[in-house]
Amino acid sequence: MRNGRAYVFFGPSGSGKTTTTLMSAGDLVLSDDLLMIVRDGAGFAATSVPFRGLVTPGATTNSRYPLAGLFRLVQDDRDFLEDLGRPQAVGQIVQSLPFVTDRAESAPRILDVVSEMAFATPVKKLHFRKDPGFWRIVENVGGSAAEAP
Amino acid sequence: MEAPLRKHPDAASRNYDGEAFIVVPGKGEYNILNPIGTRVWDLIDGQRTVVEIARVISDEYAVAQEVAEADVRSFVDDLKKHQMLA
Repeated sequence: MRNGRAYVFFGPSGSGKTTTTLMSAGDLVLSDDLLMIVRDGAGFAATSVPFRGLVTPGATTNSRYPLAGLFRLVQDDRDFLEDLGRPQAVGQIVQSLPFVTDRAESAPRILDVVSEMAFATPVKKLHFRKDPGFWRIVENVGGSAAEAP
Repeated sequence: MEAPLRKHPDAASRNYDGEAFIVVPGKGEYNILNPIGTRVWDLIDGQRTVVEIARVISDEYAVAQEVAEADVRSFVDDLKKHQMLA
């Protein structure tokens, strides 16, 4: 959480989710494990769930924070953002959804919501080194809270 | 006579900018098709056979029927490998 907006870092086990949490000292961290994204007006917002990760103490807030961006983590030797085409963005998000995609009857609805989210929110691959420097390129994505609708 | 092609009943797909995104629940993977693959996917409607789909591709892309049929068969084999067809 920075400047009233949620920056969501996602990826498979080992991609660096807990690492980005540890590199975000001073920021409110909703979770380093599971996160809930809900509709919020015309856009989407992040809120916490009761489950605990390795680092975060569990839900300490019921607040919702509008999404600034969704960042698929890729560990690299330099920090940069890689644009994703719409189908790739949807695919990366769908692959990160826990268990809900196992039910065939839910798949069409899930695709509808994820498609909407990928249209409404910047989705990028974040290549990053294991230091807080990635925040320099991430925190300008999605505008500022002052510009949020 | 060949049977018409059918999509897997659990497959969910959407088209974005001319590319089909397809996911089959429980498989843990998704597939993105290029524009021609997307056109073939759209033509798989439970009514058309490989030959009939190839005829459409042959007309639309100005390629010989035999070439279109070979390419469509190869593509259909890939779809079957990824369990995207019934």
